[in-house]
Amino acid sequence: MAPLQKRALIALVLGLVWTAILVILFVRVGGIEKFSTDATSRILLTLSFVAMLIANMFLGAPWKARYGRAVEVDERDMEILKRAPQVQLLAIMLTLAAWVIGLTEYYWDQGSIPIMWPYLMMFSTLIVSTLAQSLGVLIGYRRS
Amino acid sequence: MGDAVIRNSIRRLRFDHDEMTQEELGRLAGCTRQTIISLEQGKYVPSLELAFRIARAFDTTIEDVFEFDG
Repeated sequence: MAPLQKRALIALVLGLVWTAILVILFVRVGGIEKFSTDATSRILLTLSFVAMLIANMFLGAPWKARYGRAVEVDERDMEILKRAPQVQLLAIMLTLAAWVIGLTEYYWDQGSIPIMWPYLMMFSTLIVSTLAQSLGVLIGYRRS
Repeated sequence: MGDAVIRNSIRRLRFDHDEMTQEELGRLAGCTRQTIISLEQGKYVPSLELAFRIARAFDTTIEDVFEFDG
């Protein structure tokens, strides 16, 4: 397994676990109601989201250092990394479509969407984007 | 365009060079062992630069390593 492939796999697994923990915490803390009224839980959850994104960014970044005399990342790895945004774009579009259709249909009669939802849309899209990058890298290795 | 295949003799050349390992070739050519594996399996077509570096690692010309079949 190539070093970048290994990191992408670790980033994807950790990202999925972290996301699952965040979703469980979010629901257990009180869901959207608590998130919109309690500033402390909002800040804590926001910090958790940001920490996850930063951790994932470091894991997914191409590592150009050379360990000993072995090359860590070469042109094939970089090509795979360059193609990964195709998966990211698709994942982002699907996420946004799911959010918009879901929220619009749910709040159709009300005529407006509660203010906190766009906030969660942003975080979930960022998470999906980072996870999709790792997924894109793994798909790239499967194909080449 | 698109149906052309670039074949290579990396595997044979490695064995001709005292059974050079993929790791060693990767080190000499400046790429990972996984890229050498991918090249030998015909899954990856290298850049011109890497192709030259592989040829140089075998102390031969690029035509001896790669063959354009199109």
